[in-house]
Amino acid sequence: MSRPARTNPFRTERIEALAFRLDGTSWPDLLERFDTLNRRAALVGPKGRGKTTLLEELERHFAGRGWLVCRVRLNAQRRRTTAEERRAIEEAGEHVFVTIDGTEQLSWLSWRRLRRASRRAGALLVTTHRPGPLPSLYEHRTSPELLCDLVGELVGTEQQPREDELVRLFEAHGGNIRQCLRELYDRWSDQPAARGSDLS
Amino acid sequence: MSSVQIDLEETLYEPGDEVAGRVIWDGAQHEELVLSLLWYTSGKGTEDVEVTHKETVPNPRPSGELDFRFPLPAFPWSFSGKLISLTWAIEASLEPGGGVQRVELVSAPDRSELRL
Repeated sequence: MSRPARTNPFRTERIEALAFRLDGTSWPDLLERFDTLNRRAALVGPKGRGKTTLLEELERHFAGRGWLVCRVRLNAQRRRTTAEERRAIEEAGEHVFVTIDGTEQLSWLSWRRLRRASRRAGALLVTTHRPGPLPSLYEHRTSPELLCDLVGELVGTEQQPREDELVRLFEAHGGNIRQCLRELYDRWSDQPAARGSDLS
Repeated sequence: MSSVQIDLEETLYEPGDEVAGRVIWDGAQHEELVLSLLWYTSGKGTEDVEVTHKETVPNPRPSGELDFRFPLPAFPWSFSGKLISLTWAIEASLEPGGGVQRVELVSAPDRSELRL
């Protein structure tokens, strides 16, 4: 019998609670750069690199300072904005932070329309797989060290898998941290409870 | 800094039973004390949560105690498998921004979580 999902250290609530690790910059510098870009910018990187995590942390930052957040989430199953979302973006004013996760799903024309509709919003931040739609605020990169760091936080140093095992996992998933953590979820749940910590 | 503590008479129940206990709080003045009976899912996918019973005490004293009894619905039952667990809990919180405590419990036939 597999181990219960509610005790799995790689369950969704624990993954989502991980703080984003900025690489090569600091929060004050990131926020200053966003201001410098007139608060029109993109978080850029392939899948599973933490774009949504950073986007959500920035949403909380702005919400905590009295901004209204207008959030749009797109993905392969949801490739269009709703009429209600487009209206909210068009009506967004000076203290509204518009965020669009998954801009790569939009056609060129749809993106141009959304960008124009958001022109009165106080801030616009999008995520995208490739540079282009807006100046890059942050380019997401991952590394085996980052994976080791995150896994260590989730399971503790005593239960952490061997570093070489995590390096292999990182390479097998092409640097997609989200996929690495999902595989670790399965490995952990497939073990009998008595085996304890071995995730390899 | 405020704190809140839940003492349950039992943590294993059958569906339809009453969850009985006491909430004890201490610290600063808050706008309200909120007690909720809820279930939530956890695991590999999207999480779900539903509050089935809620009581709010407006302007509670800075410290105090309150006995409560909440009826457990017939469904859903507590269960756990590889991909998903459903867990019942009582949560008490001092709002806004005060202490929070959540105590997990089981609501299932034979007072035993179903294993998938």
